[in-house]
Amino acid sequence: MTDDALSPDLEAASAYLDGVDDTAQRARVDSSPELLALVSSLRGIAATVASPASASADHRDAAVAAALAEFDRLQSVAPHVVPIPSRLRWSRVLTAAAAALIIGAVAIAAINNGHNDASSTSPGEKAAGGATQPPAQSTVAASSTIGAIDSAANALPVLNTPADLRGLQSPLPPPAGTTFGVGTDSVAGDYTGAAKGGGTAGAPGVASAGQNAFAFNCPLGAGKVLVGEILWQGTPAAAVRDTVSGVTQAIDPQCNVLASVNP
Amino acid sequence: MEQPLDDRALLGAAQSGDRAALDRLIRLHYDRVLAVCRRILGNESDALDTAQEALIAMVRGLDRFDGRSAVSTWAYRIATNASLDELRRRRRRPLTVVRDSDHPEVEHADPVAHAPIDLVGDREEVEVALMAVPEDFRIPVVLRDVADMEYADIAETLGVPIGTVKSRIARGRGMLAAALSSPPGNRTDGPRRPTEAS
Repeated sequence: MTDDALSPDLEAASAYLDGVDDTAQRARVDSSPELLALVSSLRGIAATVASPASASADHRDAAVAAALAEFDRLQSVAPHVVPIPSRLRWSRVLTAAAAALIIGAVAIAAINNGHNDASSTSPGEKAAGGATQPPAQSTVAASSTIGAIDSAANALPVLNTPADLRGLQSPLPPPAGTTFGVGTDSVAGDYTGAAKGGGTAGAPGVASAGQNAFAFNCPLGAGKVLVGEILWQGTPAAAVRDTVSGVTQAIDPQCNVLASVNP
Repeated sequence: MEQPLDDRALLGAAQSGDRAALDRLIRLHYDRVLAVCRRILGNESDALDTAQEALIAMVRGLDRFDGRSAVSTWAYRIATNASLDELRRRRRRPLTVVRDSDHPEVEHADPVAHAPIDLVGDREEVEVALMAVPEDFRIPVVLRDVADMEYADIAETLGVPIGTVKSRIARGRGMLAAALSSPPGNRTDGPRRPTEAS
C-alpha cells in the first residue's frame, strides 16, 4: 500500500480529528454525516491506542533507579559544570581584560615608536647617545605592558635613546595619576623612596635649590629648567634642560645623572 | 511550546543537579514513555528495556536540552528514537518464533510479549491490530495518539515532511480501523519481520 492510495475521505476525517484541516475541509466534514461518523470511529480508535496500560510499580522503580544511577555516575565523573549565564559572565570579563591588555600594549608601543621616530632624524644624535644606553633597554618599558596599565610611573613618557631625550619638548604635560609640580616647592610626585636632603652626588653642577625644585630634592642650577617627568630606560627620572647650553639630562630620584645629551 | 509549570521547574532543578527533581520528572513521564515504546515495539519485554534506555538517555541529554520544546515532546522523541533503534537491532538478530494456539495469527518473538499483563479486551485487540500496521504508518499514529505530538514534531523526529506525516497518520488509522472492524480471523497477518522464520 502506498500513500497514493489514500482515500480523500479518510484523510479529511483524520485531519479533522487532529485539527490540522483548513476551513473548507472542515466545512465539508461538518456537512457530511458519513464523514462525521468516520471521524467518530477514528476518534474511538485513537483513544484506545492512546490509553496506556499503566506500568507496574516495580518496573517504574527499576527504570527510574537505573536513570538515577546514571545521573549519579555522571555527577561523579563530570567536572563541575558552570551554568551558562556564569560562563557568559566570565567570558565577558576575560574578553574585556584581554582587550584592555591589547589596547595598553598598542598605546605603549605607539609612544615608543613616536620617540624612536624622532630619534632617527639626526645622525649626530647617535654619537651623543651611544655611550649612555644599551640597545637592549629599549624594549623594557614596552615589554612590561601589564604592569604599566595602572601605574602612574609607567604613564610617563618612555624615553630609551639620547635622541628621545633630545627631542623632548618642554614643558611636558604632567603624567596621569601624578601631581607633578614644576615651579612649586610642594611637589608630591610619585617617586617614592626618593633621596631626601638635597644630595647632589650625581649632579655636581647643579647648584641651588628653590627654583624649579623637584620632588626628590635635587636642586637645579641657574638656567636649568625641568622639562618633565620621564621614564628613562625603565627608570623614573626628571628631564632637565640647560637653557644656555641646550644640554638635556635625565636625572633619577637619587640625583644621579643617567644620561646627558647635547643639543 | 508552553511547558507545564511542574515540568519547567523540575527540568531547571534537575539541570542544576537536583536529584530529587530529576526523580520526579522522569516518574511523571515514565508511563507515556513506556506506552510509546510498547506501541512501537509491540513487545512488553523490549518495551520495558527500551523505556529504561530512554530514561537513561534523557539523563545523559539533560544538559543539552534547551527547553524550547515541551519536556514531554523531548521525552517521547527520545523514547521513539530508542524504540526505532530497538526495531533495527531486532531486524539484525535471529528470531525465535513461538506459536500461540489461541492466537495463531500472531507470532511472538518473546513469549513475555504475549502475557497480557494488563492488556485486556479492546486494548489487546488494538495492540494486535496496531502491530499489523506497517512501521512507516504505525509510528506516526503512535506519536500522534499516544505521545500527543504535533505534526511538526513528528516530522522532525522521523525526518519526513509534514505532508507525509499527515497522510501516513490517516492511512495508519485507516488500516487500524479496517483491522478492528474485520472478523478476528481476517484481522491481521501479524507483524512482519525480515528475519522471521517461515
